[in-house]
Amino acid sequence: MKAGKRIGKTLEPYLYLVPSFIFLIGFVYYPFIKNGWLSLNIVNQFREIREFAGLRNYVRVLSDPEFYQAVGNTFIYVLVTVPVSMVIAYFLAVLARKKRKASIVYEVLFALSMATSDAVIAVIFQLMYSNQLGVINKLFGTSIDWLNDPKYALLSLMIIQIWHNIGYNFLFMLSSLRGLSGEVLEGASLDGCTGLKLHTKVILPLVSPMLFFLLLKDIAYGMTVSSYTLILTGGGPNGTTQTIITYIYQKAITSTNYNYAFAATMLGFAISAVLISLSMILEKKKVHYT
Amino acid sequence: MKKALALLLALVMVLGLAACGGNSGSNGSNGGGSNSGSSSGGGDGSPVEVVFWHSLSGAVGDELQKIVDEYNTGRGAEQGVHVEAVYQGYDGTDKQILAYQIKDTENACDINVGLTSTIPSMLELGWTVKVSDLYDKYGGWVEKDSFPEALVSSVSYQGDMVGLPFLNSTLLLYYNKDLLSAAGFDAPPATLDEVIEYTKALTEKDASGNVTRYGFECQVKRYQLVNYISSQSPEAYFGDLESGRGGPMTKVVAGENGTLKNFLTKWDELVETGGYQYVEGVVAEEFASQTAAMALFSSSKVTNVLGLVGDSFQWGTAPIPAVNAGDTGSSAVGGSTLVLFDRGDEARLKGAWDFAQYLSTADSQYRISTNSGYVPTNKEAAELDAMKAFWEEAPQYKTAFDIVMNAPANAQEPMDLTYNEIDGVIVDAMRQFCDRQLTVDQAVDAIVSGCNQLLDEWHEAND
Amino acid sequence: MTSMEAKQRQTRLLSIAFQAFCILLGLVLMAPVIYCVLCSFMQESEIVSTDLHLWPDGFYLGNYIAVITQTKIFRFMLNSFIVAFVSSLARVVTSCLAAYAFTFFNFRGKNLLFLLVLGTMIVPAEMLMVQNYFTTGELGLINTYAGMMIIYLVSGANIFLIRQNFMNYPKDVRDAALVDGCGSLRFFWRILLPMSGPVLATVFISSFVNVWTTYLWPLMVTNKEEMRTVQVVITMLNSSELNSLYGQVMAAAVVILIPSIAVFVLFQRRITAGLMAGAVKG
Repeated sequence: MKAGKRIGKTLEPYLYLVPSFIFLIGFVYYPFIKNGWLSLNIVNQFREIREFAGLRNYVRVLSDPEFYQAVGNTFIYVLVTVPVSMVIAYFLAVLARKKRKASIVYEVLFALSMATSDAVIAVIFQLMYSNQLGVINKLFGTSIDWLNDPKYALLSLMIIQIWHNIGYNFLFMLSSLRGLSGEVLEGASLDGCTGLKLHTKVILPLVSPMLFFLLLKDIAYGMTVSSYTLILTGGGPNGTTQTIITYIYQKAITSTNYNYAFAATMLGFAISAVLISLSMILEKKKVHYT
Repeated sequence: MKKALALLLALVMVLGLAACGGNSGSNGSNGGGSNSGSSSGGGDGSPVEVVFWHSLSGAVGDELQKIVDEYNTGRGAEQGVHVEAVYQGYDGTDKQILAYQIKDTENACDINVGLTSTIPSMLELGWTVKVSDLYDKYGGWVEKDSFPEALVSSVSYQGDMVGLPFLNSTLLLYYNKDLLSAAGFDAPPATLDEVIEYTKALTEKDASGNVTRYGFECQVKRYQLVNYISSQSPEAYFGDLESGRGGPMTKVVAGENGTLKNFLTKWDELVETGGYQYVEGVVAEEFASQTAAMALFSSSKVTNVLGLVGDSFQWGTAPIPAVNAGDTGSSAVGGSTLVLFDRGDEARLKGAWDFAQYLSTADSQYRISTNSGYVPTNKEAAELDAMKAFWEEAPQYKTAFDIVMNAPANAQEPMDLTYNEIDGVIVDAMRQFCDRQLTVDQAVDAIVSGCNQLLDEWHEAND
Repeated sequence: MTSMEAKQRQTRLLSIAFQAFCILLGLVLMAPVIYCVLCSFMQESEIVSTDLHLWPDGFYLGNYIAVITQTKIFRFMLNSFIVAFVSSLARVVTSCLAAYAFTFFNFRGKNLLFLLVLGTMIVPAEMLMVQNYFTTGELGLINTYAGMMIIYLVSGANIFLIRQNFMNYPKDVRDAALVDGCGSLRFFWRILLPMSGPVLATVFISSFVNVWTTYLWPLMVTNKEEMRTVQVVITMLNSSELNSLYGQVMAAAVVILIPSIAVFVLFQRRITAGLMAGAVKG
C-alpha cells in the first residue's frame, strides 16, 4: 500500500509530462532527426533512400544561387518589416495612449489588422496590386506590375507584412504605454525630458521587456514567413520573393526534389537557431526588467 | 542503474501513450470524414464511390458539377457508380503523389486531372492504370478513335495511351479587330515579322513617352516557349527522346537544333520595338481592357475574354504567328489528362473508367468547351448541331479545334520530368531577356544549361 | 473668465480635431479591408474596369449569393473554428500539466526534460511540416480534424510561459494545500488554474489566432472539400485561372472576416489584458 503510494508519487510528475512529450517528440524531435538523416542521403521522388551521400546535398544547396537568394530575401524581409512595423505601431500607440471619447473607435481601427489572416489579406492585396485593375496604380497614377516586377515584388510583400504586423504590435505597445505610471512621466518631463528625448530616455527603457517580446516574436515569425509568397508570387519573379520556407516547400512538394529540401531544412534551422539565440543574448544585455 | 530504469520507464510510457494517442485520434476523425466509411459498396447494392479531383472553377466548374450530377442520377445510377467531384486547383497531382508515398489509399483519388507533362511521374505510382490497359481489359464505349490523333499523342508515353485527354488547349493569338483595322490591318499577323510591324503601328504613347497601349503582350513561360519550338517544323523537339515521350528525357535539344535561337532572335526584335510588354497573369484582362491590341494566351480563356469584353470591341483568335515565314509545325497541344488509379478495388476502378468515358462523350465535351475555350476532345462534338451553331455564333472558339485536328505528331508539350523547376528556369531567363539583361546567346545558354542540370539531378535521384 | 473659457473651448476643439484625425488615420490604415467590402458589392465588370472605381454602382449581392450557395462557406468556417478551438484548448491543458510538473515537483531528469522543451522553441514548426505531413499520413489522419490539429497540440513556448507564471506562487502554497488534505490534482484544478486565469487566456487566445489563420498545414493535410478551412478555400477561389472572380473572392473574404472582426471588437480589451499578462511577465 505504502510502496504503491510512493511509486505513484514518483511517477506523478512524469505523468503530467507525458501528453506534452508525445507531441514534442513525435512532431518536433522525430521529424527533425529524420530530416537530418535523410539529408545525408540521395532519395528519389518517393523519399526512398538510394545511396548515402554524405554532405553532397548540402554542397548542392550551398552552391544553388536560389538558396542564397532565399536566405537573403528572408533577412531583408525581417530587417525591414520588423522595425518598420514596430515604429509605426509605437507611433500609433503614442497617439492613442490618452483615453478619449472616441478612443475605442480608433483603437479598434489601429489594431484591426490583427484580426485578419494571411490568406485573406493576400487575396485583397493581390487585387489592389494588379497592374491595370488595381486600385493602387489607379490612385497613384503609376503603372507598376507590383507582384511581377523583380524590383517591386519583395517590397510589395513586405508592405503586406508590415500592415499585418501593425495591429498586434500596436495593441501590445498601447497596453504597455498605458501601464506606465503617470508620476514617472510627469517627473521626467519636469526634469526637462520632453519630445523625442522623453521617449528614448524614459519610456523606451521602461517598456523594453515588451519591445523585446515583440521583437522576438516578429523575428521568429518573419524567419518562417511563407504564405504571401506561396499565395501571391510562388517565389518569383526571378526568385526575388523566395524565402527559406518557400524554397523548402517548393523543392519538396511541387518538385518532389527532397534532396535539396531536406538539406535546406537543416540549413534553415541552423540560421534561425543562431538568430533566435542572438536575440536572447541581446535580451540579457539590453532589457530592463523592473 | 536507477536512472536507466527511470528513463526506460518513461520511454515505455511515452510509446504506449503514443499508440493510444494514435488510436483515439483516428476515432476522433470519424466525426469529420463522415463519408470515409461509405467508400466501396457494390455488394450490398449501394453504389461504388468514385473520387474525382479536378481543376475547374467558376462557370465551367459549375458546368462540370452539373455533368457529374447528371451522371450520378442517370448513367451512374444504372452502373452503380457515384462520383464525388472535388476541386483541387492545381494541387491534385501533388496530393496524389503525397498520398502514394504513405500508401494512403483512403485519402487518394480514383481520377485526377493532371498536366500531361506529369505522365511519366504518374506512371511511377503503383496505383496508376494505363488507359490502354483499361481498353484491353474492360473495353470502352467511347472508342479510342473518337479522340483527335494529336490528343491521343498528348496523353501517350512510349506508345501507350496513359490517360484520357481532358481540358486541352493551344496557345492562340487574340487580336482586337477594331484596333487592327483602324491601323490598316485586315488580317491578324501570320509571322513574328508581321507581329513586329503591327506592334510598331499599334503601340500608343502619351506625351511623356509612357506606353498607354501595347501593341502586343504575352508572358513567355515554359508553355509559350515550347509552342514556339514545335511551331517551327514537325521535327522540332524541345528535349531528346521526342521531348520525353519515348522515355525519360535526358537533355534539352532546342539549343542544338537551333529552334530556340531562331525564336529568341525574332523575339529580341520584338522586345526592341518597345511596344511589347512581358506580363504575367492578367494578360486576358489587359487584352479585354484594350491595354494590349494583341496578346498570346491559352484558348481556354475564350469564354473569360468574351465575358470581359462584352460588346466593347470586335476581336478574333488566330494561330500563333510563325517564327519564320514557311514554318511547317504547329503550336503545341497543351493541357491536362484524366489519369485513373486502382486503389485496390476493382469495382471502383471500373466505375472510374465508366465516368472518365462519360466525361469524354461528345455532349460532355461540348458543354465543357463552350463554357471555357478548351477544345472538345471528342471529334463527334464537332458534328453536333449545337456545336456548329455555337461556332457560327462565336468563331473564336473554333480556331483551337482546327489547330488540334491538323497538328503534326511533335506538336506536344514535353514530358520534362521536373516540370515546375524547368518552368522556373525558363521564366527567369525569359524575364531577364525581356528586361534586356541577357543577350540571345546568353538566354539560350541559361535555358539549356539550367534545364539540363535539373534533368541530370533528376536522373541521379530517380534512375 | 473669458480667456479661461476660450482656452477650455480651444482644448476641446483640439481634442475633437485630434480624435477626428486619429479616426481618419485608422480608416486609411484599414483601407484594404474597406476596399474589400466595397468590391464585394460590385459586379465583375466594375472591378475590372480601367477607371478608378471605388464605390459600387448598385448594391449588388450576387457575389454573396454565389459564395453562400456555391461554396460550403459555413462548413469551412466551422472547420476552422473546431480546429482552432480544440487545439487551443488542448494546448492549454498539455502546457499546464507540463508546467505543473516542472514547477512543483523535483524528479530525475527534470533539467534534461526542461531543456528538451526549450529546445523546441528554436525549431520553426514550418520547417518540419514536410516530415510531419508524412507522420500524420502514416497515422491515418489525412482529412481529419485530428490531423489538422496534431502539430498544434503542444507548444514549448506555452509551457515555458505558464511555468514562469506558476513560479510566482511559492511552493509553500501547494504544500499547505496538501497538508490541508487537498489532493495534488485537486490543488491543480481548484487553486492553481483559477489563480492563473490571465495567462491561460493569453495562451488560448494567441493559440486560437495562430491556428485560425494558419494556411500551409491545413492545405497539406486535407484534400476533401468538406474538410477544408476558410484560409485554404479563399486561396483556392482566388487561384481560378479561367475566370475573374474577384467579386466573389472579396465577398468570401468579407464573410470570413466578419466573425473574427466581431470577436475582436467585442473582446478587444480582454484580449489586450490577456496578452499583456502573458507577454511582459514571460
